[in-house]
Amino acid sequence: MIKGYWIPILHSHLPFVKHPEYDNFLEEHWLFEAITECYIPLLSRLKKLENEGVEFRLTTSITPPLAEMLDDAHLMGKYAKFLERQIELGEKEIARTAQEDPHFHNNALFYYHFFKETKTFFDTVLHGNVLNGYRYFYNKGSLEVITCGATHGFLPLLCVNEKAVEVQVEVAIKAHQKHFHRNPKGIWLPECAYYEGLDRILKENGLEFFIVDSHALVHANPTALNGVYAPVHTPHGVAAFGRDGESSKQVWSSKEGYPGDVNYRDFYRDIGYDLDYDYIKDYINPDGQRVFTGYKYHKITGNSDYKEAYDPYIASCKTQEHARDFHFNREKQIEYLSRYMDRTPMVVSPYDAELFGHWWFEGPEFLYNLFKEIDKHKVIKAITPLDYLNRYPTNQVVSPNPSSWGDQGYYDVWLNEGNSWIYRHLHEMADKMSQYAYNYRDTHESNHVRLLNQMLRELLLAQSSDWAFLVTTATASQYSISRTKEHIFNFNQLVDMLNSNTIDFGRLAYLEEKNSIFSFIDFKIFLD
Amino acid sequence: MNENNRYLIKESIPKDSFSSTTHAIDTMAQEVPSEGIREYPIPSRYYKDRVTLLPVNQSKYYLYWEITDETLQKHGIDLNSQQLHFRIYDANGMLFTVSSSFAVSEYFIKGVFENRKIYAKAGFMEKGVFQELFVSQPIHTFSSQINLPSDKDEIWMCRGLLWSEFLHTSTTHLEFSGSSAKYIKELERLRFLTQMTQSTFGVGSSTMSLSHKGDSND
Repeated sequence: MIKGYWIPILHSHLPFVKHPEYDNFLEEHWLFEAITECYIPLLSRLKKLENEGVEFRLTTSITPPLAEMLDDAHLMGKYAKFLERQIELGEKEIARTAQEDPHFHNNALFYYHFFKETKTFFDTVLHGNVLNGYRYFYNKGSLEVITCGATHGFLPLLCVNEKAVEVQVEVAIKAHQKHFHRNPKGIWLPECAYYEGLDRILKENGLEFFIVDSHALVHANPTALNGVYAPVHTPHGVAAFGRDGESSKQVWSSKEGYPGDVNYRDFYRDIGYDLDYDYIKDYINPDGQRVFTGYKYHKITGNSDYKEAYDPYIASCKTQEHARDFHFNREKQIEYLSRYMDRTPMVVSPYDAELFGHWWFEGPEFLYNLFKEIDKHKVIKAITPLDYLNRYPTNQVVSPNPSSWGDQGYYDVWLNEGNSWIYRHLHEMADKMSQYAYNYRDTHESNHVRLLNQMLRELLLAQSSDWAFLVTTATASQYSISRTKEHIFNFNQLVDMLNSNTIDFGRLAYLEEKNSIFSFIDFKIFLD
Repeated sequence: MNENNRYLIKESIPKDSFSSTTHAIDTMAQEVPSEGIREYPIPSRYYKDRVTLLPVNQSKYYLYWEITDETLQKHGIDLNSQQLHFRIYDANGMLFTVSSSFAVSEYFIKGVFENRKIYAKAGFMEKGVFQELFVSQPIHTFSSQINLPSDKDEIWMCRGLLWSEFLHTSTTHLEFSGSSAKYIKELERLRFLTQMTQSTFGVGSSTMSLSHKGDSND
């Protein structure tokens, strides 16, 4: 008998990074690592579940920038080369460890096969396009793919010009139609950031649900009476699902969460840093800077610097144990909640998709084992937000509290003394875009249209919340500041070309190739 | 609203300050000087009057502004001897004030202005009186309180519906606003209309349905 529902939601997102001017660009590796360690391992586990006849239901966002990158021929060409280099490094490592480091020989073999199998899955099952895997399960109905802001813009800080928010949502819908051939039913609000009135824009775009952090409902007006264990409707009739802190923490917390188990792979120890420079130099950054290679031979072991060899088999067994523990805790949690509710409770567990596989290498295996556990016991049912709304269409009406899922729960991470300078420019660019869209609303001059469309791409790319986030966390801050300024600069350069009617066609073509996101874009979307 | 609801609300509150902000990209990104990073010049000002207020958290707000030379001249403001004044208001009056000698600048305001609409005014002082130049757009601030509804305020809605505009229109025209008894009466009238509609046309995604707790389809 089903006692309650578990709603797992993954947020799959990376900012748009494309540098055709370089053969090897460090920040492009974010995508390659995520495909290799997160997206393909997840899709291959879902395929395995399907082959084994295990029922599962999962919701995942595929953000528009991620979908665009996964569909980009230039980036996918580089990804194929990346995989070949990883396999080549594996061959070298098998030889090296056999001779010099037998303690890690099995690890070298493990990674070599890991990358070989990844390549086989990418080439044969996915036919060279990761989106094929998501489309397959989306069409089967076991995966609910939802959208996000067009470039993951932090909507509450963009709404000074409401059109900017509307365009973030409208372009996202168009990108979803392009990649998945249908309209999305739900949206992952970038950073789960909500502000009063946003639900109107979501409703007008046909979106039925979104996800918020718990305090958006607990401190809502009025407070959600079922807490986060049932959805609410906003005044405009969109359903809001609140994050359950307990299940999130169990997986996410670096201290108490499963990923911190001593038997799991250590993230930081990597041969890119551990081996002799001359040996590893061809597999690190071209400028000689040491970086992660993905070949990590140690387990977490403990809190000290002392690390023991990683054993993939023991780690795999541990994922079964953790899946059982998670299932047990959800069952108990749901039993407990049921006493207080007049309906079957739900537990919503949203996570960054890239947590599973990258930070927590064994994460995809954990999910696989968890779905098996759920299917075996049949006391909890994994469902999607839409499934729950179909079962319980009537919900309390509340106005969610403005909030985000960031540190402290509000907007601090994306607006503070270190990154506040960004917003003056974003607001001015949005105002200018409105003005130019209006002024050129009747133009059919193709070069003007190209300029205006590229202006909109630059605006959207500048709006990405990732840059402000990375400035705050002081990781890749130099790159993030440069990326923000680059798009502001490009936008203003295009405005100058338009104003002076002096088009630098070489520059325009370069920007169209480099910042090529959203081939379908039409600047008139910015008209009121 | 009953004891069970109180329990569910309490359970929904995270037990500590744990947050999800450790995004995976933070682990992917490495602070490595890259040859691809170059400096792009960006405007230091836009020659456009503007005052903007943004929320940061329950007790912090961000204010930025640009007052053009034309505006300063027009009002005879000399920033060498005078200051610009910025005031934060809610519906009940002024909450905060700050002054500056800079025509283009920013300020982080510290103050707890929870669960209300606030806005900023930019201006200058003339003979001891505040002269308004520009007003920002209003923002809705955060809440850190549990706002328990009375039974009368509990409203439930069926999926796919958009009742608020209809209700708002009804209450505005009939002057029901502000009276909870009349509000509930109006809800009941709407529910009756909805039931009539459903029985006549069947239940579809565009039909209206309003109810109170206990009327759900569970």
